Amino acid sequence: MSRFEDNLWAELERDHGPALVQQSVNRRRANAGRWVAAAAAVAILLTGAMIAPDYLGGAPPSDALLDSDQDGSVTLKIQDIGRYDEVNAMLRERGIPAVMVPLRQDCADEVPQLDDTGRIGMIPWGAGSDSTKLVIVPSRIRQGATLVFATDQKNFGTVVSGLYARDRLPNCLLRVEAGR
Amino acid sequence: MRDHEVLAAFERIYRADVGAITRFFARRCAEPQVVADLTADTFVRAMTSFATFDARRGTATSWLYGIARHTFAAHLERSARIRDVALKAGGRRELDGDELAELEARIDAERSSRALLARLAELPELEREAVELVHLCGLSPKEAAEALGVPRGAMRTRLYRATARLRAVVDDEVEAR
Repeated sequence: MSRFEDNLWAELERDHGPALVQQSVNRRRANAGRWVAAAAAVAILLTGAMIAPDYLGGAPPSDALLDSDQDGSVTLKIQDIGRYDEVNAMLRERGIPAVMVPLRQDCADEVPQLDDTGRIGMIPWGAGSDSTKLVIVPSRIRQGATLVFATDQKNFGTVVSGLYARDRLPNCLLRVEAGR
Repeated sequence: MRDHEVLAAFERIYRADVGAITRFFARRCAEPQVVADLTADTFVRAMTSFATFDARRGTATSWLYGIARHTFAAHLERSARIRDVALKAGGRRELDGDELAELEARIDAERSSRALLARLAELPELEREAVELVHLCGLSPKEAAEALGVPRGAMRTRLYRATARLRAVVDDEVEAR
């Protein structure tokens, strides 16, 4: 290394090193939050999968898939998550920027390492009080973002969710159009 | 990656590529202080956007060259603006005597490369940059495509066209003698 290069590195390390480390801390926190949210979703789905047989008495008509509340939030039963097309059509119809997508088999390994530079926030949804429902609160989804739930069709215990900039959805999840 | 490892990882990238980035600017500027400032600017930009670097999308070298290109473009724009208002740009940090001598030597060493770049001046900008990145900087065509933000196929076409045009220029010069 030349003197110029050594001096420049010393300057960079002194003036910008702390910011670089802070970026790393922020990123790690964001990722941790993401997995905590995903783990919560897994727990909810597992509970839902155990309870689901009691509820399964034939598929409800599609207009009954989403219950709307006065505050604009919508509730979806766990057992209906797999009815991707119908659920997404209803979300689109109601202008809710959220999509339910199946995880492709080759995508399952890829998703945990998804480039999250396109991710612009954490998971703004809540579980229903009986743990068999998902409650999506559109007002908590940032402008320009899309809430994505990706679920494994064979194993409902696997779910990945995140909030992405609408034009930067991960490629392997791009199956359906979000509303709004 | 742990926090302290991030800085170490960036330092490895810095040490591997700082020489090449300095030469990139030494081919464009004859002033050691400007070369120093642009090299520093490039690494400051790289450091502040390191979180967006994704090794799956390209090498660190091509990423840095991409930043260096933008840094130089911004420098040209800024220089034009400063000329307009008759202001002088201030350097980031005054170089000491040894650093000045080092950078002058590098600028001098790039004289033949600068001459080649001058001969390429007739080529469209992207073709000129493609030739520089591949033939002067030693990047693979894939890395050059990443640095320029163009598809690999387009890079191959640009390199082919640029080579053909260069050959024509050389043939013309030979005939003229």
